Amino acid sequence: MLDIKNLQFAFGQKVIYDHLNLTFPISSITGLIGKNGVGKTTLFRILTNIYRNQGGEITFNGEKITPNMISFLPTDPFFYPYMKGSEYLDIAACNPTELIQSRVFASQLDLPLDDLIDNYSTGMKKKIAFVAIFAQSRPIVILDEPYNGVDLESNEAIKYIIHHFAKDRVVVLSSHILSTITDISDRIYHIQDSKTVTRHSKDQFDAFANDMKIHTKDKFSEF
Amino acid sequence: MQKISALLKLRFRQIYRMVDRVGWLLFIIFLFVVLGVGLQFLQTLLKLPAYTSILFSFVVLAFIDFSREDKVFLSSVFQSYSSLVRYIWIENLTLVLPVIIYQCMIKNFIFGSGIALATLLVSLFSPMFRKSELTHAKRSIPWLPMHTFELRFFGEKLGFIALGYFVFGIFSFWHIGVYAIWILLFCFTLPEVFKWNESREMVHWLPNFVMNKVINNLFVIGKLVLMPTLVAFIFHPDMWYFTAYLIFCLFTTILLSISFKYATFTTVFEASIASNVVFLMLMLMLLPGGALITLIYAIFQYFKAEKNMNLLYA
Repeated sequence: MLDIKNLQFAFGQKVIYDHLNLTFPISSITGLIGKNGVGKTTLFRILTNIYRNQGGEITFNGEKITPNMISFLPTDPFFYPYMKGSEYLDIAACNPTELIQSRVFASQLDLPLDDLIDNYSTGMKKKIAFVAIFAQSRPIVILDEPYNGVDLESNEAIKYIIHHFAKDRVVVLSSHILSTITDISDRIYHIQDSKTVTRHSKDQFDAFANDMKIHTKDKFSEF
Repeated sequence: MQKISALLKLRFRQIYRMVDRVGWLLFIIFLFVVLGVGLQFLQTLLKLPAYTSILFSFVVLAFIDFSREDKVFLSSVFQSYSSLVRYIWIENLTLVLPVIIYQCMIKNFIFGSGIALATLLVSLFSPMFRKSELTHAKRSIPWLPMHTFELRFFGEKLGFIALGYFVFGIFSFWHIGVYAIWILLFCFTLPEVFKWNESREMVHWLPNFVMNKVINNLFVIGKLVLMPTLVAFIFHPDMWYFTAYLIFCLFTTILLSISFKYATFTTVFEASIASNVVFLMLMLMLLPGGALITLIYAIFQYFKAEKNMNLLYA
């Protein structure tokens, strides 16, 4: 289990997390939602050690978390210029099994691996990064907006892959489209501010989606 | 080890593909210029005491390492810290290998091993230091006008590095070479400053859009380089023609960078596509009188830029 206890983090005077507590069980998919700027990406960056943990404890199965436990798909994945899709997969894979897995996923998502990534569209870039990251056999997978710019068909394919390959792993993903999360997640954490996080289990998803609709309707009714 | 060799192969392939795209002729020119300037620079460096030159190598390598944008990616593909350090070390070592071999050939073993040591030190600390985004409070440079926003945003992004750079310029009283390096560093940074395309809504097109942009930037950059230039003129009056040539190079670079940006401007791509060509044209300026060729090329690009912007907005 991935366990976050009393996490504290601030950008200067601006507090992002004030004693945040979250748990992510193994073999589960957890969706992370919240307004822009609430700190979803920041949380991912703390987990992956891109940002230094300023307080609190992050453990995986009781052990202190290390970056090599995590596969992380950032919002804007990095690609070397003049690099082919196949080369990217070769580099990202840590063993032949991962490489084969990534190639299978890539063929499912119709990625032209012999083309330069520079010539890929935004969605294709996101897809190849997803494929490379998800094929890694690390116990924690973090996906920051994996559906950004991806076409409808690939969206479904990505959902399928996440759903069917989450066994024995902790998968955490963020998205701004609720259905892409509710379709595959076992639980949702709704980050509201630095202290407040509400948890919604699978049977509460419909009610939560309805609440969101009513809340938005109320907000705009004044107009 | 397999991953390290795959990454190194990729780096070589990248160079090959880039050269293949830019053109081999330009690459050969570039190689000659680099060799010419590089060897001369190395000779100057060798005249300094060994520890100074090793320290200098360390600073240069650390600077290059700090500006790497692939660190997060690399730490995600290497499973352990030691293999990551090993890869970065091998890459750094490959980068300076010609210099080390040359030094060993002329039996300057202290310098050769010193540089190798510098690469090791830089690599050891490399994963710990990366460009940080650990602040929500954006550094602001309000005295730089918004119509030169590329310059302003770039300065804000660099923060203290930009400040350190401008302080370094004052040291041109010590040696004219300091001023030369200072201006050339500015020239080679400018294409990066003007590489990114603003969104369509940010362009307020008026006739002679590109020319106005060039003039605005010329004035602002002129003010920025005024102090070190005056220092160079006052302390090295015998080298006035050299100083004037460097200023000419800088102004040519401004024209070239802005013109190239708008000649290839499109709202589809977020960055100018052919910065390698710009870089090679800048290398040409290092040849005596080469700035004239670059200027002609820049003027050609300028007309292309005005035409492109007219087509998009007029």
